[in-house]
Amino acid sequence: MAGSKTQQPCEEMPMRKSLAETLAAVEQWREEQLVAHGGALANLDEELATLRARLAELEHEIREVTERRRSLDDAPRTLAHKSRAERHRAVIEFLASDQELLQILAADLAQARAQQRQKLEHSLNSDPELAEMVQEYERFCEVEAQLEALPDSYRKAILQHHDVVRRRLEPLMRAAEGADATLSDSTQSVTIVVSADPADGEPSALVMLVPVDIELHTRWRERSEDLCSELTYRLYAAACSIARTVGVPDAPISCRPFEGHLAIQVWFGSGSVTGSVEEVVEAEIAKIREEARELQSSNLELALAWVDPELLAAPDEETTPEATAQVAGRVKVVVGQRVEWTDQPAAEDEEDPDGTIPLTDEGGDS
Amino acid sequence: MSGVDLLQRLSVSDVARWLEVHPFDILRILASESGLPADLRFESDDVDRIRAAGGLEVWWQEGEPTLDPEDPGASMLRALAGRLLEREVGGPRTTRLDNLFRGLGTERQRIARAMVQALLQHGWLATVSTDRGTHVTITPGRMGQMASIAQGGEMPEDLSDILAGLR
Repeated sequence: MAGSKTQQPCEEMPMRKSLAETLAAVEQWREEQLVAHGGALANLDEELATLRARLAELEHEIREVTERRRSLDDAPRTLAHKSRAERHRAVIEFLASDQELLQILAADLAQARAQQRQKLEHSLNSDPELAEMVQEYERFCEVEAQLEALPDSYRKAILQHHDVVRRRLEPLMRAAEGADATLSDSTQSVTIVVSADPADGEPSALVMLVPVDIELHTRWRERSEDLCSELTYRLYAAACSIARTVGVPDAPISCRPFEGHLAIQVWFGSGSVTGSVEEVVEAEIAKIREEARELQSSNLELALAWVDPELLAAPDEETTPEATAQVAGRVKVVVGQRVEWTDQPAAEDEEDPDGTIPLTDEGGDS
Repeated sequence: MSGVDLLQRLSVSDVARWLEVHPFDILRILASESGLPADLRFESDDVDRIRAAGGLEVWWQEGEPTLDPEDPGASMLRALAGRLLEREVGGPRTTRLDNLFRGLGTERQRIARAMVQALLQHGWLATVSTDRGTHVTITPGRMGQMASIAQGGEMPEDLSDILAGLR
């Protein structure tokens, strides 16, 4: 040591760390910093993971909401389809119920008519005067064809006498036809479903659905006429009158099966109708209500229901603006006096591979 | 027919049977004339009136055509062509479609219907919708060929399939 003088530590001077200590402290600091950094990184990683998880959940939710929204976008279309199917089903069920009712009424009326005839037969058997009148009428019918050969004066005298006999026989004739037979049940109602196609604007076709078996049309020779036949005759004649009244008297009119019922179709063509088809249909139905004796006899009311033509196509079928035309089918035909091929409804149950008019004896334009 | 039956007037289907048409044809004719009676019953006089109003004719009253058993379709075609020309059907002059068949027996009617179907398909005949039912006419431009068929000329090529099918 230089000199013997011992140096006293200066009280003002801090204790100096050794270099080794300083370096160790730096190292410790570095390590502490590393630990802190690692912790911060871990925290951030954890935060990121949490955020990613939440993001995944949100994305999942977005997908779910998007899907739900998409399904809501389709809802009106789905609802329209379901609604159409339900309305179609309602029409079919209503027709079926009406057909059942008509069959019951037809059977009852046929029975009442038969009873009237039986009463008449009994009267004829028990009343010689009546029987004589009928025999006279019978004799006249036998010689009627030969009257042309008689001199004028003779013929006139015979015919005059015959008219007198005939007038006296009129109540018997009504009884023989069962014309005064009535059903005592309460008033019932059947609905005729009508559709014009297109629904808006001038119709090119009209279809009337009659709740009767199609066999009434196709196997008429094998059936006896009843209330169902009579109502159908009225409606077919009404279809002809409707065509005439709206200015298309030569409109093809055909009958086709429709879900177990009979569809009468009037094919107006395009741009041919004058006036309101709806009003004309209503007027024709009103005329039937007023005039048809069989409706009065059976206490039957005739209701009318207009439906959209698309309801006549089955729900799983592709609908087109010409739904009623689909009901009727189409074939080539010449309309009016124009010798050119155009569209016309076809008859039912007839093969029609080439679109030509089927040649059946099934009436109308079939 | 006697007693109660005699007193009954005709129903729509009675008239239809009498006139050899479908009841709906009767209704169409009536709708274009007087309309339907309230009781849907008819006198025998009405039948004549409906027949005349509807243009209903019996084309084969005086005898059905003799068919060659080897080629019944061709014989029927010649007979049909002959009848159409005799009645001056062609162009604007039409006749009821069912007139072509009225009076024929079941088998001949089947052959006649098949031939008429083929004539329509191949454009020899055309149907015309009228207010009293479907009419038919010889398509303009086919009159000469139809006359040739009626007179025993060659059968048209386009009808060979149907003719073969009926042999």
